[in-house]
Amino acid sequence: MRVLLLIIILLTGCQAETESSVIRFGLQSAPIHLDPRRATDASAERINRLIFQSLVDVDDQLRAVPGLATWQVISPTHYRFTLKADNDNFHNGKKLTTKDILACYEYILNVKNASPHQGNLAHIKNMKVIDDKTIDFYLSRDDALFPGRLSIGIPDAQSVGIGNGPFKISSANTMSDVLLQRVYDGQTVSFVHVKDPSVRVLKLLRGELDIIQNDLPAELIAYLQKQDSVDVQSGRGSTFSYIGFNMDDPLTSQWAIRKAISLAIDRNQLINTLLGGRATLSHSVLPLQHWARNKKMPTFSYQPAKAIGILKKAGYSNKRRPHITYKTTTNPLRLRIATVIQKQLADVGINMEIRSYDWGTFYADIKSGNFQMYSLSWVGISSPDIYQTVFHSQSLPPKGANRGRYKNAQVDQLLDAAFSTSNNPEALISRIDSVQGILLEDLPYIPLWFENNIAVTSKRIHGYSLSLNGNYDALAKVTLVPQANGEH
Amino acid sequence: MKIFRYLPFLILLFWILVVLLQPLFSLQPNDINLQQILAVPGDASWLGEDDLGRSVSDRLLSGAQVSLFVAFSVMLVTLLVGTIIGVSSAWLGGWLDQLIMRITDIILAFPGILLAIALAGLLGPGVGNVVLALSIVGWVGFARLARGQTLLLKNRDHIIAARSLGTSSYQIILRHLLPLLVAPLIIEATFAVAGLIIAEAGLSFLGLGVQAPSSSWGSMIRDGSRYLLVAPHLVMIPAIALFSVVMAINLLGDQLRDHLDVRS
Repeated sequence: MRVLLLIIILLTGCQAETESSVIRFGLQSAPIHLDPRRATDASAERINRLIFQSLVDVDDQLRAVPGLATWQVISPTHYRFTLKADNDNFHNGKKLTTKDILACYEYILNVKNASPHQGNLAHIKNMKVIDDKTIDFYLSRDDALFPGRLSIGIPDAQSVGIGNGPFKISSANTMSDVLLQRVYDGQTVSFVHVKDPSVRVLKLLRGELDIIQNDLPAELIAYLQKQDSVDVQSGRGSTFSYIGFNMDDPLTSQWAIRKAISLAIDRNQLINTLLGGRATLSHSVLPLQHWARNKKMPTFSYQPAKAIGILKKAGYSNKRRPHITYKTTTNPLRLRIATVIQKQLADVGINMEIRSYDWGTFYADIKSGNFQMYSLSWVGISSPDIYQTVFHSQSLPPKGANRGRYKNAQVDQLLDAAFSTSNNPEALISRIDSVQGILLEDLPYIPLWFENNIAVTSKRIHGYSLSLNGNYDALAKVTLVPQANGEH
Repeated sequence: MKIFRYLPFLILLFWILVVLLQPLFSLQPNDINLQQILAVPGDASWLGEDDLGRSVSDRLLSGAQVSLFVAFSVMLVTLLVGTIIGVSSAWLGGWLDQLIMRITDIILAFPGILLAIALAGLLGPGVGNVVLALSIVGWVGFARLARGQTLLLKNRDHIIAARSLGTSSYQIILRHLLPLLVAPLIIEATFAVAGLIIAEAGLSFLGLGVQAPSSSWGSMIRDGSRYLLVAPHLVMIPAIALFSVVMAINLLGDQLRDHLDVRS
């Protein structure tokens, strides 16, 4: 009996020791792939940034800056990338060479591998390794934003799970519990999937988690701010929320309807009440800090009387109210927002029916154009070619993300000119400005806001900070503070 | 303690009256007041406000309509369909009986609520589809019971006599069989209603039931569960209402069974 008791004490003692030295990060959704060549979901991309490094990174203004390599523009269709001399080796000790880069992009470009990044890089005609440090990319068309597209992590050509980032994979038996180890000091970080926000908060308060980030209702954030055992940080984010319209639909293709909706939605009220003031009003797809964003953009505001006037002019009245279906996900916050928008539209004479679906059904409907009006977010926008992807008439799904079937010859012309203007950022910015102006007038999208990033950390975490695009890069420098209450 | 005997009946009567007399209450279940988000029960609002500042009491009363409508309509549909199928299967016998019983076996082999979730997922969200999904799953219990009872009763003397006198099968079933089937089927129906209220709550909890901004008890519990830490009344109030009705119906079913049992 005594022996059994001793074994139990020793076993539980060992477990507590091991677990307390691990930093536990709560995730709302588990990563789908830890292969950077295939990953597109936000959790995977953020974790992959810790394991793998990319040729090109982005700075605070979301401008492409050298990552593993610097580049030269030999001609508008010919880019030369040279690996930096001080790059870290792969975690298995192997040196990173241009052969690894070639293998990574060959895999992505091979249609058989069905990489989701293939479409964005389909204009790479050829790649040529010059030596271990230099590689050339030849394009089928000129592309001023090409370096920014090479932000995909580079794995070891022989072993995909190996990168040269600040962390290496310690174990990832299931995507719900990924364990990484920091290379320079061996600190382990466990990413734990906890879907429900209340459970995530409870686990944080009980000490079962150390960090949680985003995906929390405003009321829970306010609750956490009152707790002594945690620190709450808030910072600007680049996640762009918007309302999209189907431009092929008889109702939502009418400018008067779209304009009236844009004037009837009180975005400030939504931000202040449902988002707890933790969002920035948006008038364009690009965040305020973005290098290609016009800082003096035209804006629009809540004007319900004007909305009623526009509807009246278009032949609508209280007896003849337009009836629109609004699709959204079953995400609680999106449903709350939809319900308030429904009320605001009803006040100006628009009947709106809410249809909420699970993510798979909703996303399939949006891609196939089976909607009148919907709400979604773009996560991690960094390149201005988002305009090409979303508003060019040649970018209908599956080729691009012009889900609203928006067609405007002037926008097409401006976008074509903007992205073929190699090495002329001023001309690109001026054309993007013109496109943004037309879009605010045409309203195929109604920009809503950029949601802030929120991080809540336990007191034993020191040095965690937020970035604009919500990545987890700060984990590379986070430290554990020894607890005074006798905790291991 | 006669009051305890009548309590289940009084509780059920209260909720049925709430549903029937709802037009007289001039409820505002969808009236949004963003300044009152998560307000606690008090003088201004006796059951508090929800996550959009809507009156919890108004939503509870209007949710009763949806929850009880789904439960009673599914019960009626499944009772009718299940009884027709069960009686026909036992009366006709042969390959038809075999076929119907294998179909019920297959449906019973799946957990009922899981099958309803799958069907509601396929059909899409909405009260109508919830009624349809629960009906597709729910008839088998009544069919099994009706078949078993019919097999027992079809060889009784009064039915053999009616058959010998040349009475049509339709007349025999209607006049001599169904009156004897009513008691066990009604008892089964009371238990089914309790189960259906919970099933609707479950489907609405998963987002497959009523669509925003309408309310049902299940959707209120689902929405409220996200604020358990800051506003537990959002879960407690509809949960207590749900518990009271389910308990009342179960107790009524027990009492009815005791009342109709010839041995007691």
